[in-house]
Parts: sequence; C-alpha cells; structure tokens
Amino acid sequence: MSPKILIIEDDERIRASMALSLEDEGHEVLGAPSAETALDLFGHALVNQPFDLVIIDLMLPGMDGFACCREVRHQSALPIVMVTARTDTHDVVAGLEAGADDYVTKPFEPKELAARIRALLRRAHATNSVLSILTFGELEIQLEAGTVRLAEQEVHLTRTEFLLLCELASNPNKVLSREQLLERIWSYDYFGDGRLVDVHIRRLRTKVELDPANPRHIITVRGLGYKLAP
Amino acid sequence: MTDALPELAGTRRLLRLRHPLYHSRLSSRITFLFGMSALVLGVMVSAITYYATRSSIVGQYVTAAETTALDNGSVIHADLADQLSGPLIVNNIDQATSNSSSLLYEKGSWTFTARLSILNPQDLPVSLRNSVKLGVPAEQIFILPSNGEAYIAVGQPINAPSFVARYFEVFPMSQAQNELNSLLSALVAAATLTTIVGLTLGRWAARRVLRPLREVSEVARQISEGQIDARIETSSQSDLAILTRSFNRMVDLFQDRLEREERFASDISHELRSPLTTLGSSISILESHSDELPPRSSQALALLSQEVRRFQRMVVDLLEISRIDAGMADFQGEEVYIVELVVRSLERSTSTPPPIETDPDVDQWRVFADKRRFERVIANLLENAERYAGGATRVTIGRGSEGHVRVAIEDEGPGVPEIDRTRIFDRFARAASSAGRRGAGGGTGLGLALVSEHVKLHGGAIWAESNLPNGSRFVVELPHLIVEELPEAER
Repeated sequence: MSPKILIIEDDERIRASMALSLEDEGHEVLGAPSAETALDLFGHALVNQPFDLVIIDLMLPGMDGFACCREVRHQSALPIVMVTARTDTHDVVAGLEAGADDYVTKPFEPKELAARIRALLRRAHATNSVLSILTFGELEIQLEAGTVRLAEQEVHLTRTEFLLLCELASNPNKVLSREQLLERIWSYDYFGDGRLVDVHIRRLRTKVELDPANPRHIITVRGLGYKLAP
Repeated sequence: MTDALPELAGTRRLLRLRHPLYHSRLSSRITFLFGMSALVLGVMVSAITYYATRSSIVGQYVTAAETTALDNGSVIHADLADQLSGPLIVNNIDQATSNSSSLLYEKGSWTFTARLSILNPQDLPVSLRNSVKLGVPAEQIFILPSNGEAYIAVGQPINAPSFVARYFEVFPMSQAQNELNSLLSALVAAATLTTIVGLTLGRWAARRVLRPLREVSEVARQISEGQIDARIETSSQSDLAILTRSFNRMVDLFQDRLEREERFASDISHELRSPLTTLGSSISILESHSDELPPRSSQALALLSQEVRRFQRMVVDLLEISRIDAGMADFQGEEVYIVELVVRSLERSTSTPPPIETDPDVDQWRVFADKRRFERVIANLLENAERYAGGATRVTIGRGSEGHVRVAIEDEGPGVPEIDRTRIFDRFARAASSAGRRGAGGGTGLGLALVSEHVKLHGGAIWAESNLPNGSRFVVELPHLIVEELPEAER
C-alpha cells in the first residue's frame, strides 16, 4: 500500500505541483488549502485510513501553520514536515517546537522534499531488531515495543524523539555530535541543520527528564554534542 | 580586498575606543578649567587680604612705636635738663619699657642697652641717622643683616639750649612678622581649599554636563550592536529633554523604517519563493518525463530548466544578500574542525574535488562557522574557478595571519588582473579588462559578492592573488578558536 500524505498549503499552484511530484514518487496525496480543512480531513482519516505523513506550510490563512502543527502533534505522533519561506532561526525553531520533525525551505527542489519524506517514512517503518529494555534510573526504554516510561508513567514520544533517545541510549556516556545524530536520525549529511537536533533534544528533555531545566540523563557537551548519562 | 577588510575593522575598533577617551578628555578639561578659576580667584583674594592686613598691622606697630618713643623722648628731655648721665637715663628708660632698645647720643658719645641684639649704633639705618642728625624726627623699618629679622627704629633729636642729643628707640617687628606669617598660611590654605572645591565642582559639573552625551553614545552603541529598541530615559530637565527627545525620535524613525524594510523583504521573499517553488517542481516533473517528449520540446525544456534554476539561485542569493545588508543575517555558528569543514564542503560542492594539502599544524584547529554559509563560500569559489579558469587545481589549508586559519583555492587559469582583484567581489561585477568573457558565464553575478559577505559574517577576510607562474589564488582567512586539549574520553 502506498504511503498516504496530507499537504496543507494555501497556494493552490504549489499544492498541485507538490502533489504531482509526490505522486510521481508513488505516494498517495491529499491536499488541504487551510489548517481547518486539514484538521477535518485528519480527524476522518484517523478513524478510517490514517495518514503516514503531513506536510504543513507555516504561512497559512486563518489558523497558522504553527498552531496546525501543534494540533496534529497533539492528536498523533506521525512525521510532520514543515515548509517555510525563510531560514530564520525564529521560524525554523518555532516550527520544530510546535512538533515538526523536519523542514524544507522554499524554493525547494522536489527531489529534496522527496528525500526528506523517504527518510522520515523509512524511519517510521523501521523495526528495531534489538530485543531489550534499557533502564537509566527512573527512565525505562522498551526498544521493541517503542515505549518509554518515566517513574512508572508511560511517556508519549514522537517517532523522531524516540529514535533520538534510542540512539543516545544505545551509546550511553558516549558523546554523539550533532552531525552524527543528524545522519542517523534524519539521514542528513554533515550540512544538516543542527537546530533540528537542539530543538528535538529540548522537547525530549521536557518529556523524559524529571527536571528538564537541570537534565540528569540527556547532557549537553559544549562544542561537541550530546550524551546520555545513566 | 586584502587591505580593505582589516583596515575597515581597525577603523571601527578605533572609533569605539575613541569615544570614552574623548569624553574623559572633555570632562578633565572642564574640571581643569574650574580648578584653575578657583585657584586664580583664591590667590587673588588671598593676596588682597594679605596686603591689606599687612599694611594695617604694620601701621599699628609704627603708631605704637612712635608713641612710645616720643613719650620716652620727653622723659629723656627732662632727664637731660636735670643733667643726669647718659647711662642712668638709658637705664631708667629700660626699666620703664619692656621690649625695646634705646640708643642715646649725647655729648659726642653713644649710650645703649643690649636688651635686643642691637648692640651697635652702626646697625641703625644710615638715612635715619642722617635725618635725625639734621634735626628731623623719623622712623624706619629695617632688616638687621646679622639675624635677618625686621625692626622698627624711631629717631628724634632732643635739643635744648644747654644740650644737643639724639635718641633712637628700636622695637622688634617679629611679632608682626609672626602674625603675618600665620595669616599667610591661613590664606594659602584657603586658596588651596578653594581650588579643591573648584576641582570637585568642576568634576561634578563636567559629569552633569556630559551625562546626556554619555547616555547618547551608550545608547547609540547599543543600537549599533543591534539592540534597536534601546532608548535614552527622558530627563525631566528641559535643556536635556530636547536632546533626548530628538535622539529618541530619530531612533524611533530609524526602527520604524527598518521594520518596514524587514516586512517588505519578508513579503517579497514569500511572494517570490512561492512561484519559484511551483516553477521548480513543475519543471522537475516534466524533466522526469522528458523521454516522453519530442526532441525539440525536450531541448526547450532543458533550456527552460537551466534558466529557471539560475533564476532561482539569483533570487535566493539576492534575498540572502539583502538580509545581510539589512543586518538580519541569521548566523548559525557552530564550533567545527576547519579541515573537516573544508573537506566536506568540497565533497558536497563537486564530484571531482581538487587535491587538498593540509598543514599538520591546523589539524586540530576549530573555527566558529555557519556550515551552510561556509559551504556556499567553497561552492561559489569552486564554481568561479570552473567558470573562468578551467577548475580549481589545488586547495590548501594552513596557518594564516595571527589567530587565523587560511584556506586557499588555486587555479591555473588566466589569472585575475590587478585592477579587478577587489572589483570581482562587487555585485553583478563584470571584469573591466575582459567585459565580454565574464558575461557569458551564466552565473548569477552575485556569487563572489555573496562569498565576501559570508566571509565577513565569519569575521574573516577574502582576497584574490596571483598563483605564480600562472593562475589565481582565492584566499579565505577565518579566525580560529583557541585549541583546547580535550579529555581522551570525550573524543
């Protein structure tokens, strides 16, 4: 079954051209001109046949892309790619904090978008071959089940957050650079945007640290990257 | 370019340094003026006081001396009339007076007491003695050479038909001298105090007068460093309020304009990017189906695609450059190893990277770089070499000027003539010496300009030089971070 993608983009021409190129890639594509329409579609789809990935333009009339991103993230852990017209820290970071997993900047190459989508979908379907439970103090990661518990409470992580945690957890105490994490989680090369890692680490901390302001497990090693301390 | 960049940075630093210096100079000038005025005033008042008091004190002493001497004179007159002997007369006078010396000349000889150091009639001033000899009473203040002290001598002729005598009485002035001395010290102290008060006042006044200036320059500095919403606190004092109000108003207008420009740039950016995205996507779709098109259409599509890509790049570059111009560049700095950064940038920019030569000294050097921007620098320089010089032949990484790492991209093309070496970094530059050749390249005309801007954002410099015997060398120097030894475990 081909992956089902929802494009939320107010510009009809971009939506159409994106749909064409993604359909060429073999995806099933649905377009929505506004966040409101999209959330309607999304609600229905959750019941019937869920989407595999959502693409959200940050500049939308009515409810903006950030709010839409938060709403989708609230309802589901599926991968979200945001589309922005600017590379400013402000837009990118705000979008990632709203729950997006990755982003592309206009004007983007269709190949680039397709590659980002492939990376996210491949990851989403990847099954973990390691059958084990990792425990770090009050934090418990069940690799196979894909669940995480903090002080006996189940924590809801997005796929990206879960993979990020697993990557750090499978190399405890070893510093992983932003580049390594970008490569392993997002399939970027050396030039991937380090902010992707930083924002996801921040989001992850709010979920798996008892005191996110003073993290005990996910430690920043200045100038080098991040590591997980047991 | 080589010299222009460091020079520019130097001027800016100099200006920033000069501000506080200039202020302190102005404020010390004001302080100095106040101090000098106070000193002059103090000295003048002291001098007038001193001279007025001195003449009054001396006058009193002279009057007192005269009175005493004349009284004693009449006593002597009576004694001489009674035909008392000289020594007896002088002795009587001594008994009656406390601190003066009497000298009596009668019957051709001197009689005098030794109560003061005046022992000798020769010590009396000659003019005084002459005056008395001529029968005119006189007094005179004089300094005794033997001890350097001041005395007043009063002389009078005492004449009667039966006798001729001259009587001199000498009074010490040391007490008056002491009084004047203590007055003088008091006045010097007062003048000093006045000067100190003047200096303090001057300092206070200078601070007060210069405070608005300092505030303005401080706020101006903050604004120039990007804190565009910095304002001067409005002062209640009306004369300063004018300055602060107009300054704040100026900054308001400036900020407003900046914000409008930012909005405009953002609008343009969005408006341009959207159709470009559609164009790019649509052309990609067509390209992936180009084998289904007739040859002529496919050819046209290739042209269209090439131009659309160029147009896309030009728009992206222009937007990038205008963001840098507006001071809104979003520098994504990271600490990275320079060698890895260069190698990765080369690999990404071309499928056939030129040979790299690395000075082992810089292996562990790191720079604070925006990887995306640096990659553009390398890509644009390679593209430039490709377009005008048949491709880069070598890339070297080594030590640059103090605190800098140097990355050089060399080619063996025709080289860049001296006159074009700074010009090629201008926007839409066309080399003066070979106008036609560069135009044909199909670049955006912004490549090297953008390279230069990116390097500047890194705090570095870029220039072109000759790569002897032929070709050119584009040199990028970036400041490197202090090399720290990392603990082995964290490597």
